[in-house]
Amino acid sequence: MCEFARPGWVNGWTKLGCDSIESMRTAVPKLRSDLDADKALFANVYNYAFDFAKEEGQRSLSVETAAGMWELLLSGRWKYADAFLKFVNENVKRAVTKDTWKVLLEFSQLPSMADFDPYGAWPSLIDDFVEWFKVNGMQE
Amino acid sequence: MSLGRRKLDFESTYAKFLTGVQHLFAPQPQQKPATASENGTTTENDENTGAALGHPTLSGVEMYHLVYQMCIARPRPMHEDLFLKLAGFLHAHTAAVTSRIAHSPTPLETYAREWVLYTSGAQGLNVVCECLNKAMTAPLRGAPVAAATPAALGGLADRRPLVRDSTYRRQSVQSLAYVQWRDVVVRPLVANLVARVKEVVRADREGVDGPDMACRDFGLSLVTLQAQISHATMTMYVAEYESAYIVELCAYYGAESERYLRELSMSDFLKMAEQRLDQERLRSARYLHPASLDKIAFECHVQYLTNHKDAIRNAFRVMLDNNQSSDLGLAYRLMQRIPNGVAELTGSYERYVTDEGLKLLMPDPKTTVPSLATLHTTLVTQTSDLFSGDPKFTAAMDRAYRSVNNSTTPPSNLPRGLAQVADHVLRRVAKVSDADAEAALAGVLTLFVYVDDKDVFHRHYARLLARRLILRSGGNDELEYAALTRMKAVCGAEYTSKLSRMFSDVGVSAELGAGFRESSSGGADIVESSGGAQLDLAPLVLTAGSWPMSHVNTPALAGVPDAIAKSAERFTGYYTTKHSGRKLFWMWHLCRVDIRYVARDKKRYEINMALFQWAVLALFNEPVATSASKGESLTRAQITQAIGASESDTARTIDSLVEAGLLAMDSSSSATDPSVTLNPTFESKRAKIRLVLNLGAGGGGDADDAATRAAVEEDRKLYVQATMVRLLKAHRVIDHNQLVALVIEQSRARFKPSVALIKRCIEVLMDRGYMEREPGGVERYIYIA
Repeated sequence: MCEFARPGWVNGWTKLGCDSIESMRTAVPKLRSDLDADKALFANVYNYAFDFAKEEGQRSLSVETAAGMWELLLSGRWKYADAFLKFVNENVKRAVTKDTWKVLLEFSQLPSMADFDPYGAWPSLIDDFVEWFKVNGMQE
Repeated sequence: MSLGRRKLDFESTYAKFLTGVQHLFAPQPQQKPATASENGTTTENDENTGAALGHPTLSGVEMYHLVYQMCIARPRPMHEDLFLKLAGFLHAHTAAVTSRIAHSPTPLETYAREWVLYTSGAQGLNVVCECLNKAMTAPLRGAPVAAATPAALGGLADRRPLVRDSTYRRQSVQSLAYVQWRDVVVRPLVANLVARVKEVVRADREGVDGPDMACRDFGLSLVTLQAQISHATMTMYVAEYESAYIVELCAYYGAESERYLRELSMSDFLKMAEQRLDQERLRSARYLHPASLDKIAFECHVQYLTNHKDAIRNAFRVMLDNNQSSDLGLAYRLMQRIPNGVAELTGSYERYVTDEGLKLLMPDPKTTVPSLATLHTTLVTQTSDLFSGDPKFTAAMDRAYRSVNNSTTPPSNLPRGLAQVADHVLRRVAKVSDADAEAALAGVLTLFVYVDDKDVFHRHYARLLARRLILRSGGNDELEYAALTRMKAVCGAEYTSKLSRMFSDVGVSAELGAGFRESSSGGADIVESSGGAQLDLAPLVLTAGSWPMSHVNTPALAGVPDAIAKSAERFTGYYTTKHSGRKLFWMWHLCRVDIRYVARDKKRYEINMALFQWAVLALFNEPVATSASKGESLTRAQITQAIGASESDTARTIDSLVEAGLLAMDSSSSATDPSVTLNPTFESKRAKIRLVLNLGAGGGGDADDAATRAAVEEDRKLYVQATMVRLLKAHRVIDHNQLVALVIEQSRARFKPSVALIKRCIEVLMDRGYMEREPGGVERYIYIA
């Protein structure tokens, strides 16, 4: 998990014109702002993060790792991120599948919880979260 | 009488004609049918009348001729003059009629009488004035007829031209007559007459007879009058007569029904309602035009039934609780008359059945099942008797039973309970007659239809059936097959395939056993045991997968007594030659042996016991080489080791033998490792004894139940996944909602999958790469081949 392949690493930084720690340091804020500005880029990065973070040979991501990644990617970008993380840490034991990971991004982009359709094809983790939120999340 | 045109003196001709006309309209002193005046009757009376009027009477033909002449007179046809004169006559005549009616003490009867006279007179006149009619209406041929207009008396958008400068329109004489009647008689009198009608009707409802014919004639006259004017013949009648009748009816019955509802019990109220409704039906036929009858019936129903439907509905429930059959039937008959009336009742009925059903749910299925089944039969009979088998009631009962059978508070546990009761019946535990057993089983299967978790039932039933077959405790094959057939009818052949296979296995095994005994390996079966007894082997070969046991996790038994082990080996050999490629695995914990036991006091017993029990006892039959003692007292540990079974299994076996009295605890043994000996003082009242020992799964206790539930969940997951893959293959691309709906439908014969379960399975399949979401939306899935 969390391994970069060397060719990718080298090519990527070269495209950005960085060859030292200092230049990398200056490049990072721009990358960060790109993430905020470009929705498609963010989606790409988000989905990549799943494969990046999971163990070799596993199909799904362990809960702890997933939670960590979600915190990294979604805190500050989604208003329910904190509630969601609380829910995951307390209640979720099963590993997170790729489908759940991907759909969560869509879920996070819903304007509000009221737009959630309980009869829709959402993964069960998200259904459980909405249930939990109805009871617990309101106090936050 | 010539037909040529000639000069006529109008006045004198008309005067002559007038006598005939008057005669037509005069009342006949005797009861002659009015239509006879058409041809100018020649009886004495007519002559008298004619004489009274001071002129000789004219025959119809003569009158006709007069008219004809007037119409073709020279120099100018006189039809218009004639017409106007007639109009004048009619006007005067009807005015006289009006005053007669107005001053009469019985206006309705007078009206009716006068009307009859008038119509016959008008018809007669019309016939003789045929030429006149032709003359008056001819120019109109091809011209538009006056259009039908709504209600108001005489409100006629009449486009027919007026006659000269009079107020009369060009029309036939009959039409003219009716118009006159309408304008002169009806218009001023109608309100009064209608009021009288109302009073008469009200009195009639109280039981007082009145001039119903007169009323009816009055009403019908309005129809006839209107018919002359337009095509919408009923408008005047409806507006004046019928509507007044209905208003009065609503007021009357509204008040009456309120009063009855307050004063009477519901049962009596309904009886009164039916009575009044029937009465009114007859009454309205007497007073009204046939076309009104439906409307009247409807209004009555509204007053008596629709307005009080809440009260009736609530009372219905009370009637159900108290089983008041005649009231129930009556209520049903009455409510059938109003739209959605029956639906009101079925709602009440469904709640009643549900409540009754829930009351019957007891922890012990042996009470619950029969009582629910009995209730079901009673309800079916009740529906067919009282509600004429109305399918709406049957549907309501079905819904109620479904909710009762699957209820969670209180939990019905019916899947397991039903299987247990069926087992009970099939094992003939209670000595009941065949008919009773059949009835009990029928009850079980009736309830089975309503259970959602049919797969749980299947598990329990299969388990119990296996036990019955292996222990040979089931008596009645016919009943067993009947039960299976019924289940197959409800759920399909796939549901019962395993169960049928179990039966066929038993049959096949019997054949195998016979074949084995006759064959060389089985026949000369001499056993090297001290008893030298012949071993009779009755094998039961189970097809793996059809029976609810598996060879994994079976209790081990290494120390199978030699005699048996050798027999088993020989059978295995025989079987493998018959069916090469198949492997046999012996389930020792299910095997049973018949033992002949000679006690110390020389009494003989035949004991049927489990193989495990025999294995332990056999240790006492011959000296055990390993133990230092004389072989008469053995510790548990020694026994365990000797028979090669698990500690817990051995302990259970030993305990059962101690309980049966065959073994005795050795009081001198240590507490930590107690030992047992053969019990020298064993005795029993019965010569044939049967010992039971349950090892491994199959007890049926609560822990077992939990295990069954878990296994069922697993099965369901697999079933749902298999179904989904099948659906995906067929549809390629499918909506989420459609997929869920189809899965639920296809599983219906076995169980009702929850949406959560289905979603979980979707995730599993997605993860394993069988399907994926359609990119773009979140709602569709694509099958990945």
